[in-house]
Amino acid sequence: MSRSLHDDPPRESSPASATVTGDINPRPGVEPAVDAVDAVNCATGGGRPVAAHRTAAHRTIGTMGRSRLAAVARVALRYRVFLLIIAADAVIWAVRPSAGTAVFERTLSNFAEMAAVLPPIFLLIGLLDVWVPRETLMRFLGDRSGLLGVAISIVLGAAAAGPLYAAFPVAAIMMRKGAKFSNVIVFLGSWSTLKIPMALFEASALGARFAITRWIASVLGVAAMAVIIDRAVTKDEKRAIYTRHEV
Amino acid sequence: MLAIVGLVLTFLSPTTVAGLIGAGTRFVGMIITSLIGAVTLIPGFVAFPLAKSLLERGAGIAQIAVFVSTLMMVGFVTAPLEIRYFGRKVTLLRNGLAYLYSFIVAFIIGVVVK
Repeated sequence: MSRSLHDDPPRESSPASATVTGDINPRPGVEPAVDAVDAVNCATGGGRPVAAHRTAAHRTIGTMGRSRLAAVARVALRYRVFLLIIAADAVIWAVRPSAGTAVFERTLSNFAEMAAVLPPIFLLIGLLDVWVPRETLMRFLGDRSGLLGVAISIVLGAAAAGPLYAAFPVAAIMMRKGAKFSNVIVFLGSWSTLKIPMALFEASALGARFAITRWIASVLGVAAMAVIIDRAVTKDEKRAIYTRHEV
Repeated sequence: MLAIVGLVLTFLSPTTVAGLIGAGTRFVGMIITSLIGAVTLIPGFVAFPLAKSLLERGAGIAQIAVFVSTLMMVGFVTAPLEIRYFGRKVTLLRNGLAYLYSFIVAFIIGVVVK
């Protein structure tokens, strides 16, 4: 997630899946220059007879070392926030081993959760992409979907079970297929706080009265927030967001 | 995580809990719990039992409600990712409004649930 802080928006026109995996795995397309140089170096440096092209080989090995270093430096720079946090965690671990162990366990469990949540989400997105035609989605969630569109957005979000960040790629595919901006915001709000599976759990822990009151109050809030955000964001800004998610 | 919850609850005596985020702390307690809720990324199956045990230890219902609400709606940790999907403006608006609205939800719950 560290990349995004210094990332320039215009480059984010890649499809949703690429945008997310970019956080976890280095995107193959980001550093074509370095990869190409590396590939060439490996091919030339490794394959040539050393005696015949001694100077050339030396030069290639030299640049290969440098470009490797540069590649490592780039990766380190991209994940600098993550690396800094890990370093801080290591310091905590050195000073207070018990607290440090807890921190690492927590980090690991977060990674495990993400690894468990994201594959089914991407599967869902893939199915949505292939099985739901643009026309159908636009009819139910598009510009003229009206109150039905709002209701469907709430139901879609509430039926979900998963952390909010899993909703982002789903929202992206909704936008790509022509869902209305305000409906996407309703969907996000619904996913964040109206999840039915979570509400059941909430009711068992904090009481049905608590959960139902919070759910009803939140529905109104989700709708109100969508109206406010929809009005605050200009047409051009919306178009810019939508173009991010075009294929 | 459950271990941490256990640890925290062992160290926090009911008087401490009530003093920090009890019903008597009113708005100050709500600010505390809302900030914790906004910044942390705790799954619901941990958060709700935690909220329950805090309630049992003297936390106020509105303070817990604002915690639950901000926890679910406001994503401080995931904001960079959200910005990449929806841009800075939408992310700030959505999280800011959600933060504010969590207080309204909490006031309503404070009135309805006794």
